[in-house]
Amino acid sequence: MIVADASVVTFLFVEGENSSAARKLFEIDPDWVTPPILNHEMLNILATLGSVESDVQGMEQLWREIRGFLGARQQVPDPIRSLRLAMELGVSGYQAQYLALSDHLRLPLLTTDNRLLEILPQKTIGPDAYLESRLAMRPL
Amino acid sequence: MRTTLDLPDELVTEIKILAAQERITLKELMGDLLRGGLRARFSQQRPNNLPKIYRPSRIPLSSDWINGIRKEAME
Repeated sequence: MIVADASVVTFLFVEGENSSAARKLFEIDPDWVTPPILNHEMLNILATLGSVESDVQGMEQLWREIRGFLGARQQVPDPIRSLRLAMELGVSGYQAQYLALSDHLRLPLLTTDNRLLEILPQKTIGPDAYLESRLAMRPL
Repeated sequence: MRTTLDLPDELVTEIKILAAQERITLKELMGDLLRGGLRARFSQQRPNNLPKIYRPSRIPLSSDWINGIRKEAME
């Protein structure tokens, strides 16, 4: 079970730099949890991608699929914990909500955000590194 | 947060023994057990199939590009 941020969820649905790792990771561990803030982030990412690609219909279809996927995967983080983490760690309130959820569930936060990976190596992990660690744990 | 629960005696005894065996406090053990129960409940509700849509991107979709959009929205 993992907490995934908007960058990792995007790569699960749209082909790109980390898609291979994100999809392999989902095959090994499909139990992904996200905070509701991810809805807003996904909407923003799809709106930007849709504008660049001039594909309104495709993005609408993708949004519906992502909403269905997220339905049973969302959990609300404690806002006070989010607030404290944002101030203590010097991260945004958005990022703090992912961190609050991963703290609460005692799970790693999967992200491709290099700044977060750099300043919080104990709390965050990239898809490739997580995949490597999971594969290493599997019996031969 | 402090809360009061009316639990069966034998269950409380079992939990106290387990906490003593694991050398952790009752509070820690109860927290772990409740978290585990919640995780298991949520896990059962989640579909395990890969999403039906996997869209090729017309632009080279990089982490930097996605995180750049996210960062702009946060500012």
